[in-house]
Amino acid sequence: MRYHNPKIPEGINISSTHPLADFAWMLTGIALGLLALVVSAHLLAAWLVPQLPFQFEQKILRTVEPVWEIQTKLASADEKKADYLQKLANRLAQQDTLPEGLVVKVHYINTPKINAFATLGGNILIHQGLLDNLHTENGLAMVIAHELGHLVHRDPLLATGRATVSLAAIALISGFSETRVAENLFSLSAQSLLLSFSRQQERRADQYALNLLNGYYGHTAGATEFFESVETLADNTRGYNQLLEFFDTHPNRGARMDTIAATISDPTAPLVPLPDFLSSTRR
Amino acid sequence: MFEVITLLTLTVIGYIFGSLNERRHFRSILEREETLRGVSTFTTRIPPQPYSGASHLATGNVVISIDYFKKISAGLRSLVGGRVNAYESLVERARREAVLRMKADAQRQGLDMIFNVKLETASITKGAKGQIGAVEVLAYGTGLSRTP
Repeated sequence: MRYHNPKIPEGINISSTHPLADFAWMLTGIALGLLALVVSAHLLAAWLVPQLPFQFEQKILRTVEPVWEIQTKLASADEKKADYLQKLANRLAQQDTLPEGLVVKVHYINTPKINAFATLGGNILIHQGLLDNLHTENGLAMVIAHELGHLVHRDPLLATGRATVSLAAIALISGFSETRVAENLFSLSAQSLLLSFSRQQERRADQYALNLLNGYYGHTAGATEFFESVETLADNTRGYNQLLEFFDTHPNRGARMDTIAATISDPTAPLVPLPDFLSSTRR
Repeated sequence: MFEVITLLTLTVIGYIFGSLNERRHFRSILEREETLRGVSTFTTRIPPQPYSGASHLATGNVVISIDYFKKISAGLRSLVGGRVNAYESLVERARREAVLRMKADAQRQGLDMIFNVKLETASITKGAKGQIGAVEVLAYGTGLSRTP
């Protein structure tokens, strides 16, 4: 038997594609696919959400009860304040016919955080820090009416739906891929995109709030009070820290304040002062 | 943001050093394959003619680590399917390096034929999370001499 010792040609076992080109193609393809998925989910959510009854929101809320309970345990520590806030919200809500099934419940939370937000099931949460930085009922009414606007427009349900879809997409990616790359990349964008309502939603809620204020007081003077005190507070460190959450969820406060200020037709109209018992005793 | 920066840095470092290393390794493999051409390898278990000379075990073992770029590239590939470009060159290097070390081992023992050549591979990290993987290739066979 004769043996040969031939030279084996190079490159049989290795693809000729440049590793960077290979990488770029994959990254672009996956990013586009994911984008298409999220965009179509967003469109679907926008169409689906207004058709769901408010009872559905209550049902969802019960599934996330543990988180919810912690929030409400902090709440209702002060019946008097909660009662006042609830009554103000009710009076404002009377300026508009609320959609069927929406029951607004205002919760008072005794923390120095300067924020208020609307969430699933017609719930509005108001932190003590916010009350401490307002001096007129008109300013507070603007904040509550704004949150009412979110509720009427179904923004919390929309945000929840979108967050769920995007989190599912992230889970899909990180589940299949052995690396945590995708997870890291996408969780960042998801957080910044989904924790807050969109600018358009904020504008719509502002517009809704101004209408309620106009109906209730006959003018919209004092509507910018909260934004004004935010600007002053943001200048010192303590105030800035208390506002962190607000800044996170409301990136475009300057533009919003200007829009609201432009609609105030009667800036000298008399404002209603807030009752003293609303301010924090720890001040 | 911090996570993204860390990730990008690791990937860029991985690509630069990984591809430099790979190029250098392939150059060295080609060179040594030429110098060790005299040592022949066979997959048959038994030499064609009766043999009564010296026979010794010849082994060559190598472990090569992947880099961050390869890892991410392969991670993305696992989503879309297809040839894992990033790992093909890695496994090729490991296999050829192991055979070369086996040949060098045989040569050290004064042998110039290796029969019954076998290759074993193992993953060092076995896909453990958060670990950079490494591949091991062991080449072994029975070394004989043409001039016993």
